[in-house]
Amino acid sequence: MTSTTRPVSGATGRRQSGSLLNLERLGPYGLIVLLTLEIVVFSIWAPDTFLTWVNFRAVALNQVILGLLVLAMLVPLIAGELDASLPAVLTVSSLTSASLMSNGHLSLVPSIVAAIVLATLIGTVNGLVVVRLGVGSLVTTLGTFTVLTGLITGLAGGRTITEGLPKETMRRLAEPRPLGLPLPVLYLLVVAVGVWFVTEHTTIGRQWQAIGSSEPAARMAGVRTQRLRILAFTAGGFLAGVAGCVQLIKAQLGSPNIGPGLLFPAFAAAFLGATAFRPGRFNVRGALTAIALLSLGVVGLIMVGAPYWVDQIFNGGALIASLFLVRYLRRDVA
Amino acid sequence: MDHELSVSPGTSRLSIDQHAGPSEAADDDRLLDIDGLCKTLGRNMVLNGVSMTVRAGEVHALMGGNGAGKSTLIKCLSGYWRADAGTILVDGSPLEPAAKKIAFVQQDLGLIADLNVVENTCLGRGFETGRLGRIRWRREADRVHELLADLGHPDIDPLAMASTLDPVERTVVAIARATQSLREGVRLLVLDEPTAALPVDEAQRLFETILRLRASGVGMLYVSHHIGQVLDLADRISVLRDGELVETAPASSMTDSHLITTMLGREVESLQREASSEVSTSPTVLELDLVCGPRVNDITFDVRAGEIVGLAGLQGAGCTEVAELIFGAAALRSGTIAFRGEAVRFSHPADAVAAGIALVTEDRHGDGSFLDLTVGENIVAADLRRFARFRALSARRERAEVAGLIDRFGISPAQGNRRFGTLSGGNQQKAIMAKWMRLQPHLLICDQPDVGVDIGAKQAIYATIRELAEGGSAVLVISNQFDDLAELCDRVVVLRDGRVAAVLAGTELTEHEISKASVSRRSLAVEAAP
Repeated sequence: MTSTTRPVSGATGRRQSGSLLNLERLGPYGLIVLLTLEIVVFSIWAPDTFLTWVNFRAVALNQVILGLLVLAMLVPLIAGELDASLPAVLTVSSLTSASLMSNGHLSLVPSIVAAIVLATLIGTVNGLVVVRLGVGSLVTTLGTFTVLTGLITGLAGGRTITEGLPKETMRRLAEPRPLGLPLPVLYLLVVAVGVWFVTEHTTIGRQWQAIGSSEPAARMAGVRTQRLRILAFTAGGFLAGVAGCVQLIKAQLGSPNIGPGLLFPAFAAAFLGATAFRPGRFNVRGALTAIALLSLGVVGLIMVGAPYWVDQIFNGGALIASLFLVRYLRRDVA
Repeated sequence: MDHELSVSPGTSRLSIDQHAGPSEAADDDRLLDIDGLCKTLGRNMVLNGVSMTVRAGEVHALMGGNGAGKSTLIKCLSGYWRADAGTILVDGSPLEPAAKKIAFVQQDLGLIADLNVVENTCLGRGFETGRLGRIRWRREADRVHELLADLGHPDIDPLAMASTLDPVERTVVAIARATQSLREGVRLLVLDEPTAALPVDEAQRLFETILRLRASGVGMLYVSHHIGQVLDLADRISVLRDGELVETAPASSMTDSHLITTMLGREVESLQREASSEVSTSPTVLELDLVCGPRVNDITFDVRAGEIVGLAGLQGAGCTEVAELIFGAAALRSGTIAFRGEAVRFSHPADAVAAGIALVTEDRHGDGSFLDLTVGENIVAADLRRFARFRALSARRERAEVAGLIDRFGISPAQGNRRFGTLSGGNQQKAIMAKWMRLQPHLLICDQPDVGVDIGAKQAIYATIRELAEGGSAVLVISNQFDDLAELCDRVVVLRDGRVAAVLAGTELTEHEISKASVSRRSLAVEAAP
């Protein structure tokens, strides 16, 4: 699995020393340069609509769920594992807490806690299967993804759960805008800081990175790799559970359709983000920058008159183009 | 020892072809005629004007140390490399690899794990097909079965996947594939270390096959490290050293010690070692008693505090396996390992590291380092607690520690945030040494610490090892550089075929003695072919 979960620049790159220093230094910030360019261009092109606080706030709010999902996927990715089931875990979490409130008449907090515990357990099971049975993580989690998609349909009967939810409480958790930012955006930022800190500034995060780079080497350096890999899946499940609950609170409904469509955008953001800040490695700052780059691009294009279906074309095209550009910026070190 | 061949190492190339053993043959019987073969790889002249012949009905052995050029020579024959200069004639006409006039048993056997025996056997040859190009599987399977039965292995299922075969069966399949082309008119066979994975009786069976082939007029080029086997089996022996053919002579005129001297290129003088009396009384740090594990049996030796012990052996002798057993990376089958006076049974390298054992692995890039991480991250990978409080890392203390270690071990360029993969081999190895030295281990095991590093880095690494031993730690060094082991170590344990063959110390501890003990000298009692 390691080879397919490597970030692009690490997988194909064979770097050489003796590089041109300025380009090497610019490389990690290529994505930031692109984002800045994009904002400048659309600000000039559509100053009245694009360059407004309302626009940026709306874009941010729209990307909260994708952002949380990407954070969930990043943890296993950093440890060299790919958990494709996390979008479905997100949906399961959202629907579980919704139906506990709607059908089980539980209040908000216990429902959310139960949903997150369930999501965490699913992550652990994925981890156990992958690590203990030695099955590839992509295959295993695609299997889990399919099973969970079936369960989702069973849970909700294919319907959206709107009845019996404590809408008033949810609204209070979703709508206020302290510091001008909607609460869900703050949730995302808090989780992002947490994941960033754990993955880049703790021993566990460092060991995940070591495993992601070379599991045999990590083992021979005295890292208990099996445990830590399972833990990475567990953490991914937990974060996807959190994402599901934020989705429920934000939308005030539990929908069976929210998660699965996010799989590929989340992938794109994680891989694109691996070209920035810490080139060749999946990282939180890069992934969030990538989400901003892609979402602002789509919004900008629509504002200057592009048709609605430009969304997917831009996302896909931008992913490929950015990879090329970043590779070009780092051609000496790539 | 009374051979009249005057070998003046390194300078002259002798070519003594006149008494060619049982198959005295005329010149036009030459199946293979190599003349003035040169090959440069990178900046190294790997083959320098090599000339040799293989006659019909002859086993011509090719010997030489690691890096002597044997593999390159064979790769020139197989067409993998194109020679820079010189000619290769097969049956009198220039070599055309595509014509498949040479059969090979490659060193790694060249089997494809996910194909079955029939597919592997027929890949290079093509399949017999029926109507519409359908492969006649049944007929091909029968034919392969017959080939295998001829080699004494009717039990190998032609439809078994190569990955499910054991090493002996795999070797047999590779040999069957080669003998199949011999049946189809090929008269020249190249065998590269065919007995590497074979136990004695299987090797014996292979030799019978070889002798049968020889009697039928097949010429064979036989590459091997096993001096004993070669002396028994070959008609003529050629020795390569540093890319030059230094001697060709009838096997009957050779002795094992003469061969070793010729391969090494010099009479190795015994370095008088200072008997360090403190060492012999210092406490035992590591003690192995009848340790058995994967591919090693009944290993018994000890290492004392302040002592540097070498572990020597040819490829596959079991040195790396012993290191992995001590380090908890492989499962102990029986026997006991005592570390600092207590019996231990590490189930994971983490336990060994926690106990104070460090292992510099043989495969630097496979399991020794993180190429994508930075130099600093590599150096601190084995212990992060030192600058962590409640698992949160202090970047400042980490940087300071990394900078100090880079300076102390002379890692260049001196940048902790550089990607590890961009360092040269020598500096990578220094960084790996730094990673373990930082832990001040009670026992340091270095598996081939000098492979692919330049002389300066090698000296730095050896200095580090000495320094650690002087500080009272125990060191176990595995190396193919027997001369370096003789110089560096207090004692050397020589392994052969997974067992301890000798323990050398004092005046016995010379490169020559290590070489001698490491090669198999079983007499095979091979009957001379009629």
